[in-house]
Order: sequence, then C-alpha cells, then structure tokens
Amino acid sequence: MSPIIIGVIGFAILFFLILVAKIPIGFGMIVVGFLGTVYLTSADAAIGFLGHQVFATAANYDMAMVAMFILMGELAFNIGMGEKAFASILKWCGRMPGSLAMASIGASAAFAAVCGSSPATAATIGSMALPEMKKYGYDDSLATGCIAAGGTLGILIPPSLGFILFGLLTEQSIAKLYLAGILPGILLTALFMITCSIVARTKPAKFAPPKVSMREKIVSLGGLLEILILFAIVIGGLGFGLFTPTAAGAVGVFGALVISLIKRTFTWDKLIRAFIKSTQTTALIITIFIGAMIFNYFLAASTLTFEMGKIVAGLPVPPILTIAAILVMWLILGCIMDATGMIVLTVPVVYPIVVALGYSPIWFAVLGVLMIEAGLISPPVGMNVYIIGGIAKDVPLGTIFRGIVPFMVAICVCVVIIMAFPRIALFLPGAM
Amino acid sequence: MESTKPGAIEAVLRKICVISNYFAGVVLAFLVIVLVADVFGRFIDHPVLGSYEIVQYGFGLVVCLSVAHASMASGHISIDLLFGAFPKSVQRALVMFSEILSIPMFALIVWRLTADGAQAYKISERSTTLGIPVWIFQFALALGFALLATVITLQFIKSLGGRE
Repeated sequence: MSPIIIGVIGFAILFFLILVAKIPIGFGMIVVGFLGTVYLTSADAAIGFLGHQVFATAANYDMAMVAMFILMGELAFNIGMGEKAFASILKWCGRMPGSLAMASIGASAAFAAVCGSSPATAATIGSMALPEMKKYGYDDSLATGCIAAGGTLGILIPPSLGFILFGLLTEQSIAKLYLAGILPGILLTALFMITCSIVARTKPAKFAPPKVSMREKIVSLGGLLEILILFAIVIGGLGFGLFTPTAAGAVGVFGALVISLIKRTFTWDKLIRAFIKSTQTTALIITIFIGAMIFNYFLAASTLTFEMGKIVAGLPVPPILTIAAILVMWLILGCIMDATGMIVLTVPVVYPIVVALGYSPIWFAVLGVLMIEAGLISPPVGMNVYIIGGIAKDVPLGTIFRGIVPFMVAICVCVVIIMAFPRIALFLPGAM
Repeated sequence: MESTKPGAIEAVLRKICVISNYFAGVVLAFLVIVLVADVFGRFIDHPVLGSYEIVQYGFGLVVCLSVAHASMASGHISIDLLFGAFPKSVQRALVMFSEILSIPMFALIVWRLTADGAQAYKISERSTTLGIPVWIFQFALALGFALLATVITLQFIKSLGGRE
C-alpha cells in the first residue's frame, strides 16, 4: 500500500475514533499518528519520536504563550473588566433602536481586546447584558443572538487563541497574526452593530434606556481606558518587537493585576481561581497539540499533505474557488467540532494547499478564524450558544439559533469583503 | 468491600491531582514573574539570565502538574455529536474502547520519557545557559503522564464495573 493511501486510511480511522467512539481529539491523534508512523517507518523510530515529541511540545518556550494569554483572559474575566466596558459603551449608544444590543457587541469587542477566548467573552458580556435587555423588553432572539455572536469577536480581535494555534502550527509570526486580526475585528464589530440596528427596527424593544448627560458619558470612558491601555501595551509591544509573544502574555497578566489592584477589584480568591483554571485549560490544549505534532509527523511521512497541495494547486479552477471550498469545509466542520480540534486537525492539511496556491498565510488565517467564529454559533454544537443558553435558561435553544442567523450573514459578508480586499487583513502586519 | 476500593483510590487520586494542580499554578506564577522581570530588565540592560530556559522547562512542569487534574476536572476535548445517539450500552462499550486505546499509549509515553530522562541523566545533559539538568523535567513529565494514565485506568475500571 502506498504511503498516501495509509495517510488517507489514518485520517478515516481518526475521524471514526473522534466522531463515533468519542475518543478525546488529542488522544485520538496520538494513537493514530503513532501507529501510522510505526507502519510507515519503524517501531523503533516511532517510539523514539514519541518521547521526544511529547517533551519538545510540553517543555517549550513558545507553547508557554498559550498559558500566558489564557491567564490574561481569565484575570480580565475575574476582575470584571468586561462590566465596566459594557457600562461605558451603553452610555454612548444612547437611545437609538437596538442600542443595548449594539452596546453588547461593542463591549464584546472591547473585552476581546484583553481576552482571547470566545466562550469567556460571551459569558462575561452575556451575564451583564442579558438581564439589561430583558429589563428593556428586547426580543429574546435578538438579545441572545447578539451576545453569542459578539462573543466570537474574542478569537478575532487580539489576543486570540485561534491565532496562537494557527501561528504555532504554521510557524507564522504571532505578532503579524495578531495585527492582522485588528482591522477585520473592527469591521466585523461594525457589521454586527449594523445587524443589531436592522433587526431592532423589525423587533423594537418595549422601552428605551434613560437619557445620559455628556458628563456621564465622558466619565464612563474610564471603564474603556484600562482595556485600551492594556491592549496598547501588549499588542503594541508585540507589534514593535519590544518583547516575544510569550513575554507579551506575561506583561498582559501583570498589567491586568496592576489594574485590579488600582481599581481594588483584586482578591486572592479570584487570583487563585484564574491560575487554576488557566493551568487546566492549558493542559487540555497542550495535550491536543502533542497529538497534533505526532499526527502531523505521520501525515508528513505519508506525503499526503504535500501531494494534496500539488494536486489542488494544479486543478483547472480559479485558486479563489479552492479557498472558498476550504472555507465552506470549515463552516461545515465548525458545526460538529470545537475550534481547537478543528484548527489542529485541518490546518496542517490545508496550509500547504494555500501556500502552493500563492496566497498569504496571514490573510488565510484571518479567514480561518472568521470561519471558526461561524462554527462557534452554528447548530448543533455551537459552544457560544450553549453558554448563552446556560445564562438565559428561560430562552429555548431554537430561539437563540434563530437569533444568530442575521449575525451569521454578517460573518459571511465580512469573509467576502476580506477575500475581495485582502489589505484589510494585511495592512497592519505590513506596516509594522 | 470490592466496590469501595475504586472509590477510595479515586479520592486519593483526586487529592493528588488537586494538590499538583495548585503547584502548577505556583509554577505558572513564577514564570510570569520571570518573564515580566526579563522585559523590564531589558530596558535597563539587565535581562534575567536564562529566562528562555526557565520558561521552557518551567512550562513543562506546569503541563506535568496539571494534565491529570485537567482530565479529571474538565475532561479532555471530545465530540459528542454521534456518540449521544447511541444506546447506553453501546456508549459504555465505546468509552471502554477509547480508554483501552489510550492507556497503553500513555504507558508508552511514560516509558519513553523515563528512558530519555535516564539517558539524559547518564550523559549529564544540561541546558546551555544555566546548566539546568534536563532529566529532572523528563522524569517530571513522565510522572505527570503516569498520573494521567492512572486516572484513565481508574475510569476504565469504573466503566468495567458499570459505574459512571
């Protein structure tokens, strides 16, 4: 049997194990990757590689950035940085239709600037914004849909776990990936806000929020200022090459701690909770990453990805159609897989194709993250939807999914715009 | 008597995992301090010597100290889509199948990490800047994965006995 066929069989077995047998994704990749490598090389080589790869992935300076950025997000979540952002943006959105929903999107974007996790963003903003929207008689589908969608900004606006995983798998600069996410993040935030405004006109709220004086508005900006400062230090320092991505994460952690001390929101309990949760999430991601590294070695030995790249690049179809096909595949996979699993499983396969087609990996990563965002709110496994469902227990999941449809359209519009104008993603990385 | 044994072992194992996770948090806090000190130190031409190695190996410790507890507390990331549609008996068989595949795999990883650690000890392999002995971290990681393998084995025993 040719190595390529072995590669295809390996993929089929892996999909069976993770989709049918519910084996954890990382474990499945380790098992199939190891056994496939035994078959394609030798037992001695595969066993030797196994120990080496586990140690090289776990004891790794670059991997430590995963822990640092997760911790930064956990701290921001625990010290209530999202609450102040929401209160501030709410005052500025005024009494226009859908102002509360728009404020939720704005607060999600602001919180995303200090937190790289989409579910954490949805949970943070959802717990504050949903009761407010209920109070003013917002339609349930708009209220829950906008929070679930707004949460997805967490992985587009840097810091972003999605970009970290992309960068680690494709050896692209994390700084460039982060910078590439800023303008598309602002674009998607604007599209989400426009969506809120349109939907709110068809389903108007029962009451309007009270009037706010200009003085109150200006005072409220303090809540956004701390996020802006932390974002500027971390992403600015990274973009200007002042420190490594791992150190940027640590500086972010330090900055969040300083802010919590100044604002007197610091407690030991919150600190310990953030550290414990971060180490656990990190360990889960590193286990998947160990699996990805072992599985990728097997794929490389099978030459499957290389050959696929060659075949797809040689197809008599416009390259942009191939990119579109990959994005549609991700959209479908996003319906059945979580973001981390989807990235580690598919990026090593599609990345050589994108490179062979001559596209910018940075631009492609932005499109990929947008597709992951769509996956996070797609039925039946859209994680953000379940998080919002957990907060708004009286709202049926069907209503939330219905509320998400207009935001899904907004994500698709954003994808088309970035495909048509790649400079939106590539301008900042090129300028630094 | 037979049925209480896994429960008692699980309680001890849980305690070990929880405590080791606290240590993981302490190590992570130490790494944050090292990295921040290094960033500030660079501005005054006094970077932390060997910060790269400290973070590299320290992160290995974070992983080894938290990997078993992460598995116990949150469960590893898996997909529930088709699995949920199967009858309970099939689900149990599939879980056991998944555990049977995972246990020897992690045992193999533990063995390789231990063997590599023993080799590194024999040749006194050390990091280049600070001369940190590498074998300590290979053994530590082996211990972390041994704990994870034990957690999965215990889950398998519970599945075998028909318990959730």
